[in-house]
Amino acid sequence: MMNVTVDVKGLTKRFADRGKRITVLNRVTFDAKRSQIFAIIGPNASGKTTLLKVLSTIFLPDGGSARIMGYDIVRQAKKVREVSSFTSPALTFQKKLTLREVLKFYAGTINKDFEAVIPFLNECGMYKLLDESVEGFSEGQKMLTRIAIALLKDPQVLMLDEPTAPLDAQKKEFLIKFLRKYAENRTLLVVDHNPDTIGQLCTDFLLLARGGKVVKKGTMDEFFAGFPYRFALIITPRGFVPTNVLNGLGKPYQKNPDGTVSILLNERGEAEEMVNSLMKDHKRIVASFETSIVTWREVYNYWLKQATR
Amino acid sequence: MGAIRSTTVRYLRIYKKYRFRLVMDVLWLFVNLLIFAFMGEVIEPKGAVISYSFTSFFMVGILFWSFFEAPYVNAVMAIPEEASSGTLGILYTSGVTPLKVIVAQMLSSTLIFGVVGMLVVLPAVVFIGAIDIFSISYNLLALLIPILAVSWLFMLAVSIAFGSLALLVKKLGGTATVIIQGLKILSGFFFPIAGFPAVIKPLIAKLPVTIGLGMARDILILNTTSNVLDNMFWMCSGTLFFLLLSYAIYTSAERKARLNGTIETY
Repeated sequence: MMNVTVDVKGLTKRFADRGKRITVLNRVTFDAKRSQIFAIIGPNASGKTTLLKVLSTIFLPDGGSARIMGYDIVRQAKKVREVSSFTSPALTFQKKLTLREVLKFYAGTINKDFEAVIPFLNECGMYKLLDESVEGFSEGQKMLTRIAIALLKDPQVLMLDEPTAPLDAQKKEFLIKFLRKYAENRTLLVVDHNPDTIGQLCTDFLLLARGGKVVKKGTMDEFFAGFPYRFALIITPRGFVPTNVLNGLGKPYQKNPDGTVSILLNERGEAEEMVNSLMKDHKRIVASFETSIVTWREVYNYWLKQATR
Repeated sequence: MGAIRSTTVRYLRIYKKYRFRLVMDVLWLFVNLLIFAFMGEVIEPKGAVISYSFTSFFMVGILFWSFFEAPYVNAVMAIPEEASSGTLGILYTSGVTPLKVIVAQMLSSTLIFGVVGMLVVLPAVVFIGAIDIFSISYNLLALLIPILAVSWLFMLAVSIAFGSLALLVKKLGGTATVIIQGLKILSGFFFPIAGFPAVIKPLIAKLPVTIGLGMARDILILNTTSNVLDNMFWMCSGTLFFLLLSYAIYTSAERKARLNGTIETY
């Protein structure tokens, strides 16, 4: 059984932009194995989606090479399409057709039976929509349709661009559980901006910087190991916290999407010192605070910031 | 073949959903029949270039082109339509390349307009009295099948060549219409090719659709035909040349679009 399923060596992609050639992927090298769920992370314009589009043969690379299940993405593109699937919110389908017609069509293109994805549709609650026009679907339902289409091939390598972004909490939880099980004997490459999603879903991570250069790759433990802080003082502010107040603390901090601020510390003892200082000078800003061991969210944000520099 | 078959069925389903568009296309054919039937009655031919009425001349032209015109336009516009609705990327990764999209659209459209041609245009042409279908021998009628088939392949080649351009030039605008009108002129739809300047006449006379329409008129109006083997040779070789040329244009356009990253965008 083949162990390395995705083998990327020095992959380069450039696009023309107003007369200039912009490098979007800069000699990207990594490999993924069976049972690995690989997260491709990085700030905007780091080439994450482009990488998936090159690997799924939509785009041609300008340099380097890549093999999917041993097939060269340039010379054996047809074979690559047979063993892999790619899905993205940008990819859509004929909306006038019903879900059944859409699935039957895509199954027909690969000589498969659309009933292969009935269990998935049942599990995610889409089965009852089989005879509904896709036009009326919510963004979440459209995403689950895209994933159903991708699953029709029973792909050995499944590439997903922001698969959970439009899903509600319940569907997100279902999909993460489903994909983890699905990846037991396959490889998944996932692009997602939500650190919680990729933290729950992925086993390995590839961090790209702007311009598509690999900054770091490894397991979650390796990303934690490279993180220089051990504790986080999480402050829930009463309202807007001025940047000068945060900068004045003299410690690195992260603004979280839920409105809290994580101040990164090396020692737990530093937290007390920091709280005293805050309560003394900015009492009206702080609503509550807690100290915790750093979580994946802090580690993810830290590395993302490194990639943005 | 599975991809082309499935995509053809998909287009047929889409046609079913957009019935109004089909009704308008059929209406357009009727308008053409009326206009050209009227023109055939009133225009005065300059010199004796044809030995039958201009009404018959125009009506067989409309019948002949009814099998190819709408399928060609739909096939050329297939890529821009798929790209604008964002479906091209998922089709591509499912093994449905833009080439297969064009071929499938041409096939599905031909199935529909073939039926329209046989059930609407042909009875109308017979009703007008432009042709006497019952006096034509079965052998001659059977000869129409390869003539239409080769002409269809030629139009497929033209569709692929210009449809491929949509991978690079996103707004094709009226290109499809300009090309089809040009081809109709060259095929002798509007006036006999004898009316063309002598310098370009030999070249035009070798175009597969020009030979095809000429043979169709001979069979349907005069109930005769001549130089069948010679004509079929030129039709087949011309079509083969254009098929190879259009495939070369397609592969080049597809490669460029994949390199530029514009293949699934609009």
